[in-house]
Amino acid sequence: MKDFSNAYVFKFSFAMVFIVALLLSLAATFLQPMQERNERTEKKRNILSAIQIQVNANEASSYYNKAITDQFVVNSKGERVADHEPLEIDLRLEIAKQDNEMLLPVYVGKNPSGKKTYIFPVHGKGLWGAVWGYIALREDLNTIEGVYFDHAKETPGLGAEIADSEFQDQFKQKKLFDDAQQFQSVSVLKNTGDADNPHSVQALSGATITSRGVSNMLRDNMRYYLPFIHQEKKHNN
Amino acid sequence: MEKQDKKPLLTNKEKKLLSTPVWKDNPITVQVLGICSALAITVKLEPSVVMALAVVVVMGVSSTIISLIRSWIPPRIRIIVQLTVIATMVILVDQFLEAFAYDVSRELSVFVGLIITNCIIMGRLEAFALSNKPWPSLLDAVGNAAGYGIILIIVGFFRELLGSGELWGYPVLEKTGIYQIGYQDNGLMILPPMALITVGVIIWIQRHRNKDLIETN
Repeated sequence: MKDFSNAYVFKFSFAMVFIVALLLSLAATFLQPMQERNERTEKKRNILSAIQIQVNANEASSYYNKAITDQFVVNSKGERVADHEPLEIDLRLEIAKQDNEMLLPVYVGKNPSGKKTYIFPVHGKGLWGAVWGYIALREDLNTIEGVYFDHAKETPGLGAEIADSEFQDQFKQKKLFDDAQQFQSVSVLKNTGDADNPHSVQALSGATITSRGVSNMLRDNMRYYLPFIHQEKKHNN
Repeated sequence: MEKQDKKPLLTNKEKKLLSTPVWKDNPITVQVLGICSALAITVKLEPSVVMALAVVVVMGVSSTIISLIRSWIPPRIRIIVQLTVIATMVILVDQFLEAFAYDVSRELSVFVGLIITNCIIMGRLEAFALSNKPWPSLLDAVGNAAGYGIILIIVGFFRELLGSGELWGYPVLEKTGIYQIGYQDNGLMILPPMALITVGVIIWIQRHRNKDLIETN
């Protein structure tokens, strides 16, 4: 093999890095609008899925516009904050902030039978990576209408089953508050004993940490929304 | 057709380049490379197939590029150059999947990134593309990627079928009525160790049929 001078090695590296950078930034710039549209469509599909409307990617926007009547952003005191697009908020970054800087998206819509529903996004940690979802509450802001969960990289067949409807359907009719109006959340427990307990669902076997992650996600995230929920309840009465 | 093709599409030597790595010198079962990703993504058939295709694309293009610029690459930084080319291709594939096949990309995203760490790709760049012309390099790359992909697909087929009773997400075993006579899915097939054991069984069958592959020491 021939020998190359140091100067050549430097020139070659610079040229290579320049070409690669150009190529990648071009690809990123041109593909970004499509990727963002896909992400937003996915969010809409997930929100609809929480209120039991399953649609494919093409129909998502039109169904979303029909079903979701209001969307806004609240802070941790429960006050509405103007000038923010809820769909563009990355909850993962918000819940990492100080309480007083948090921006929390809320979606208000109608379930298929026309009842008012509040949908709250949640975000937490599973075993291997992030888990997230949407919690739809009925007009009483207590009873769960439906949930949607998804995950980045939970074990297929074990933790990944939080994304299955069998797991998610358990949450229907569960309640976040007890009779004394104290916040209880809904926990994912190994031995619930009875399915009638309004504050717990059956955990996934073989996925203890993912199940615990879902419990923590619900409790921690819904706590941020409590001021809003209390105000809204007062307002509704 | 009266006119005889003077040069066939693939000469015998080129056919060998393409076919040897698929079975006789398979990267996974004979060279024992790329095992790590074979464990991770073979729980289901669909990601196995998409991964196989992604590796064929990344490997074919990287090999061709490296072969095209092989006389300009300073040997002292050749590994870095190879890595840069592979990484660029992987990021491009990832970006394109995210833009045009969002569902597949969501299922695979972590693993697409891991193509970079697939030792088969760099192994072939280093061993073949750096010292051969672009066309043979492309064939060698596609052959090796196909050899890798075929094992993935075989393993993915058995793990999905026996582990969850489905193929491509379609519940095939349920249709056969086998559950009524007491059959149950084997949950162990879903876990990584069974990928190793499945690969082991393939290696066993292959060496049984081809005694040349059995090492003597």
